Amino acid sequence: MKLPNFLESNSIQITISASFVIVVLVTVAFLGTSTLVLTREALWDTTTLYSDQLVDRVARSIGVYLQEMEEITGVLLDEVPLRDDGSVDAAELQSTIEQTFATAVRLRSDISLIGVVSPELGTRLHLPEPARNPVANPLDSDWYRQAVEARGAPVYTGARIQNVLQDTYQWVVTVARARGDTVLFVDLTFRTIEELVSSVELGTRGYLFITDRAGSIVYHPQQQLIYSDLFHEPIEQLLQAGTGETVIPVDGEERLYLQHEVAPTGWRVVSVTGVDQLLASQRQVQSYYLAWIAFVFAFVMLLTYALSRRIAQPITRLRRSMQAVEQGRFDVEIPVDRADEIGALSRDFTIMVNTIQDLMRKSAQEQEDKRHAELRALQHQITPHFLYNTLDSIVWMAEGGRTGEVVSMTTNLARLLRLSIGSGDAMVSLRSELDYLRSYLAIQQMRYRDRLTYVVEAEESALDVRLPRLTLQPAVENAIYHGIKQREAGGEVRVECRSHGDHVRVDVSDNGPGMDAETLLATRNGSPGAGNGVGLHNIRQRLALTFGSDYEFHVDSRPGEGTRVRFCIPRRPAA
Amino acid sequence: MNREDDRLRRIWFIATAAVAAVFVIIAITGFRDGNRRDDDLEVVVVLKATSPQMEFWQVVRQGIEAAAREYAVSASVVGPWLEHQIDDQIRILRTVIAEEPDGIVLAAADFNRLAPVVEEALARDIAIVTVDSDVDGDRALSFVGTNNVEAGRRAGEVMRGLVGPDATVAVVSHVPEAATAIEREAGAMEALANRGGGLTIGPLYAFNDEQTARRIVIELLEEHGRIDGIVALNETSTVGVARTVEDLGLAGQIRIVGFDASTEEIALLERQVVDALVVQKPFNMGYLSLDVIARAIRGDTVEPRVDTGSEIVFRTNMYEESIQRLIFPLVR
Repeated sequence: MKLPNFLESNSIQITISASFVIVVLVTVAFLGTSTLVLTREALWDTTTLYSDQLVDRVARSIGVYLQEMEEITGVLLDEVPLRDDGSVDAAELQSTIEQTFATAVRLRSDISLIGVVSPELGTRLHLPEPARNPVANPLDSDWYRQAVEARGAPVYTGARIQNVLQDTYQWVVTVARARGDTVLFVDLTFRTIEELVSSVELGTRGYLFITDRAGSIVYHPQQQLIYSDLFHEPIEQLLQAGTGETVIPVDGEERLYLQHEVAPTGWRVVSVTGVDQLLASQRQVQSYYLAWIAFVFAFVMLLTYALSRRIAQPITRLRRSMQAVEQGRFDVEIPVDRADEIGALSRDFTIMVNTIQDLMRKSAQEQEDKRHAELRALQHQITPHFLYNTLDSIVWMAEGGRTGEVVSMTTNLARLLRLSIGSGDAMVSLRSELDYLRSYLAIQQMRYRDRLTYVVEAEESALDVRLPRLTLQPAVENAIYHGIKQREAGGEVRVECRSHGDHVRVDVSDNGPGMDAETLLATRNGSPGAGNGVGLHNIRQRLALTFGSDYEFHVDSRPGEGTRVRFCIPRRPAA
Repeated sequence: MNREDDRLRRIWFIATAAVAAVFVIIAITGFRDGNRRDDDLEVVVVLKATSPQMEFWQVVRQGIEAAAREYAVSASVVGPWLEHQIDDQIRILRTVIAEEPDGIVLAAADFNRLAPVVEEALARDIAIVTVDSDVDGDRALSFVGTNNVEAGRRAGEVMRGLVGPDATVAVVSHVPEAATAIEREAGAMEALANRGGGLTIGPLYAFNDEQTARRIVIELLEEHGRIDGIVALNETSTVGVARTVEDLGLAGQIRIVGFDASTEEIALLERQVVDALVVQKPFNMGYLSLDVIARAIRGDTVEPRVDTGSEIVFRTNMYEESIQRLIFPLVR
């Protein structure tokens, strides 16, 4: 996966941390937002449901209360003594008023006044006559007319001033019921309604109010403020909206209104809740979330720091160790002691460093061995003894006047010496090695006269192969020493070089007495005590040091049949 | 490398702390918003009269109490027992100033004598607002009340409409030194001037006493033989004048335009002894004066005058919904 640019950093720790932070922030933002939205909805739903239930309860209570008033007015109306023609028996009415009406007012603290109004009798109250306001005329009032028109059904006024009492002007709700043109009315104080309404709590600033059918306020907790024009309810909009839930902005503030109708009267119980009050509680919830998010955020940040550090720091340490190794300091400590992948990586790295160290040690050892073997081969080659014998032969030939032979021998010796001093290169071509061998064999032939014959055969294609200097000479020397020297009849030494695919095979064989199995085994193992084994062992060692495992070396011998030393080397020596 | 590690670590911790701090600050702000409530302001209201018989001042008081609940202000109401106790009011106001409340609402019993006391309050950095009756020189931060010149003029104009152009009309005021009296007199006298011959008598002072008002009516009748109309410029004067007229059996003959709307005045209006009442809005005065003082204390600029308005009430419109709301205080 490709990381966005800004996340690409040259530090794993920063990359991990930044990714974590982004993931955490995005998650927190998403969760936070969705939670807040859901909370808002849930709060809203809960509030409206709660308000709805409250309003419904209050509306029912008021319905029950008004129902009760309907019954009471019904009973009282039955008490009004009506003659058959619909007129009121004034004398009998007076006793009814004094007994029944007065008792009802005494019993019910929410009833302030009971009276009867009719065109013929005027106004009769439950109180004695002088208490009546002589100027007041209920026959002219709206509620009297409405009650007559309602034909016995109860009529409820909104809040109104009752002026039928002398020097008393009280705000009441009047329930009126007619029989013919005689109307019984009962004035209710706000006491019971207020009790019913104020028994419910609607948050800190929510409240209930009641309007009548026409939208006039029947009861409002801030009624005086409304009457003083200092406070308003959007009555028109509420009437239009009908029952149910409405949000209306009032004085720059959104308010949630819930209306329920009080069944028989057309009154409405309305609950009011400030939307900002809802939002205030939402803000509190929001604050809780934010505080919680802050905590989680801080926690995750610290965790991220610790975690990314735990991942990145060992890698950094490992890297420093690798840098040290790069600079050749193999003795570095890798201080990572963990069970996880980084621990494994560190352990592997340690093993690798150790192996490299071993290999380097081995390689150095090999170089050392090679030089040593070369030196020994050289020491083997032209021993003082050989030089003495050769020079002795030359003196002897010179005394015999065999000038040609002296020249030939001296020439060969000179070439031999020159080749053995060589250019200093460890590797030479087979061609030059064979030249050297020929000189050596020529000298030896002169010394052994007719007892030594030799054949050097080489395929042209094999001549360019390169091999360690003085590889062949010890084998030939060995063949002469063991195959010819001890045999009166003399013998033949054969050197054959042939190509074999990408290898070259070199055979050095004699037709001497050969070796028994025991000697052969000792020779093959290169035991130092075997005498002839030393030279052969030296050859094998140098081939191994040069070509690794890509060579062959065999010594074959049968008693009476001679000995053959054979080795195979690759055309392309190991680099 | 280690230094870079340290730097990284420091940046990391600072960033974490900063982001966490931002969240915490937002959270705390939210908490505070959710629980925001103004510190309770302490306001003392010094009225002209605290007697429960003084209906007007009781309604002012209701307005104050309603506003105190609304604005979370603690408002205590003090004042002399009756309106004419000017010395008492001065003494009470001085005591209040000594207690150094956040603000004072004053209904000045005397236009001139209370002015230096208002200065004293301002000198001690106490916000002060006048209600209903101002003091001389616009000293208070604001005046909340009826535009009394206008109210007096309307009373005079109503009277002009009730009587003929040559009618004799008397103006009965309360005290010579109260702002309400001075202003209403000015308005009423102006409206009654130049009526085409009709005599305008006054202003005469009843000194907030019904008996004095009664005496004024009787003396006027003795002196002039016939009086066609009386404009009474406050509650006591109105009741005193109207009762006398009713007692003398002259109701309907002497037209009366009065001020304010006590129960007794309403009854007199209903009985058609009084023809019209100029009704002020005492509840609004109380309520709005507290609103203004609360704003003044918080350092907002406030209007130098808040007109609470007035209405003319006749017998014919007194039971209209809007008028009935105005003149009958809601007592629960």
